Amino acid sequence: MKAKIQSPIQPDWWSKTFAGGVFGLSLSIAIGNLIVLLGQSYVAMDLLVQVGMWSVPWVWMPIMFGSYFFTTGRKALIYLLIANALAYSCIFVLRGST
Amino acid sequence: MKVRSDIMKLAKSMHTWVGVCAGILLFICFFAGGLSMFQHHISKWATPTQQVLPKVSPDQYNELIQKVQTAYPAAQKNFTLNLSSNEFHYAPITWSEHERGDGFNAAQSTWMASLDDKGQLIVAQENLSKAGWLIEQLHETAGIPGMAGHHGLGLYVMGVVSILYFLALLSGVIILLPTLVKDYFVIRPGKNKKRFWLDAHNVIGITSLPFHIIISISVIVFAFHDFFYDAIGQLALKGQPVFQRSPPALIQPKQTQIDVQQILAQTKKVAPEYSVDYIQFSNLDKPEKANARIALYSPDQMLRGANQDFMRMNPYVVEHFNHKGINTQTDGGNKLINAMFSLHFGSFGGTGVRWIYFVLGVGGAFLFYTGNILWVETRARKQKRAEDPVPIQRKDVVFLANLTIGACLGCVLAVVGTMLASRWLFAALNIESMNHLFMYGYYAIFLLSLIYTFVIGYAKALPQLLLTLVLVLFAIPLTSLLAYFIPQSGLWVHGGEILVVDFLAIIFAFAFWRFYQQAQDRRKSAPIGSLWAS
Repeated sequence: MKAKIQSPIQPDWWSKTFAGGVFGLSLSIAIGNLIVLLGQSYVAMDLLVQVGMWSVPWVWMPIMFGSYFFTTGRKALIYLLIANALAYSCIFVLRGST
Repeated sequence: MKVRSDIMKLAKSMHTWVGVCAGILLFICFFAGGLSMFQHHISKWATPTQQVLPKVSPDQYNELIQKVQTAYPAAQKNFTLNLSSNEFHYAPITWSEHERGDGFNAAQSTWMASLDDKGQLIVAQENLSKAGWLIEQLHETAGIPGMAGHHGLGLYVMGVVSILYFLALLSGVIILLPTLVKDYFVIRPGKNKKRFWLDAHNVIGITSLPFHIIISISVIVFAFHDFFYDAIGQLALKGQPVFQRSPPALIQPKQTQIDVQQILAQTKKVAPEYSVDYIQFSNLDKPEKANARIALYSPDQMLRGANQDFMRMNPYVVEHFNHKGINTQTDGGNKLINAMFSLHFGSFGGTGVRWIYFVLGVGGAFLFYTGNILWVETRARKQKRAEDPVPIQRKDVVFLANLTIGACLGCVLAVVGTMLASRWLFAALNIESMNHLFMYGYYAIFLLSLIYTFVIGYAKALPQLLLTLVLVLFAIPLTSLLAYFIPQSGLWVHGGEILVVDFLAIIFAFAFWRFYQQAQDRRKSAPIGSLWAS
């Protein structure tokens, strides 16, 4: 017998696409930037920016895909917004505000 | 493996819709991309013999350069010296009076020079035939015309398509997970055509999954790297430029005469693992800024470019060089970045990998074609019992079937059709620019095939397009044979490794012949009103 799924995933195509496409992208850009900020004392800058740049799509695409698997589009938006806030706070703390 | 039913449902809808939206553009890019593995072979194949000057021996390079520069001041600024590449096979030295800008440029008017047996200078100005380069443009843009900034508009479109493509890849894996073990490596031909298409789609998809993931991610970078770099420059680097240029070292060249032997000897010392394909000289009139961009090839390295690694050198002061870009002289981090490029271009492992990438490219095109056909087959209306009314197929199903068959087969026919036409028309007419012929020929055949399919319907058009393809493909090696035996016909043939183009044409001809037979059988046995009945 099949167990009933407690809260089945809602399609919510538009809101999830927006969450993954916009907030997922901004989160990946933040992660690319964090790689550059955290690595700058260890890796030469001209290599580091390339690693940071390449990591953007490598991070973004799994996030984009994953955002469709939140149960609702609302949840996808909220969780990605929180992750963005955290990531960008880290950037501004690490680089100093000026 | 079990997957929750709601996840399956979501993955299925996602796979269906992103697949249908992206499929045809991806087909064009993958087919052209597969061919671009041999793009310089194709260019050479399509080059009339009058656009090729004799080769010279390496000890004549200096003499040739000196003679060209004395007679043609434009070559005192920049020129390309070809040693062994197919890309610049036309002549030992080529140069143009205008810098070739970015983007699409069908006029390839180029000067070229060589020496005859007596050491006399031969010079010609030609609009060089660059069929392979045009196929590469098709690969990058899917044939979408127009420019946006310094890239083709099509590149950005393909960047967005690649996002859909990535979603299609992962959702496809989820759909297959429950039956992966059972279905993998099984192709069930037989009455159920949908089963056959699905099996073929699965085996190609799963087998080439890592390749497809690499391609989709790298295309997103190729399309949007400027934007990503700007974001890093603005945020992490607080508005500093991302790439700091080190101030140019002050050098005062003592000589202003190029000594190719000296350059080659220095290159050999710095990069002994590589051989030199060609050297592009620029800024030769400003000795302190003069630059030689040396294209290096090795089958054993992950190459950063589509065919080569590059090092730079001041041609007058050979001790002054920059070899950071070559794989043997760089550290692990840079090698990782090189690999990202090289894994897209298939520029590692020599000819063997080129062939594997060719198969993966054409296999990818087949994957997208089968995907669309599956969409159509799944939505076909069938007559279950004889007394039921004759079914009428849904309009959207007919539309996508027309679009898929017209665009995909139209693209293949347009590429091979213009290749064949170029040989005959060049022989028959006095054509000034082969590249305009290729380009307009491509769009004309592509659009005609598409319109024709919509007018007479995919079911009738499919066998006709396939048969046309078979005839055109068989005509390609026949033309080469004719050129070999009757050289006065004005046709031409290049021997050696360029015969790979004729060889591939024969292989494809047999494959399409088989597809044609199957399409004919299916059309004959299709009941009235069914999907493939015409």
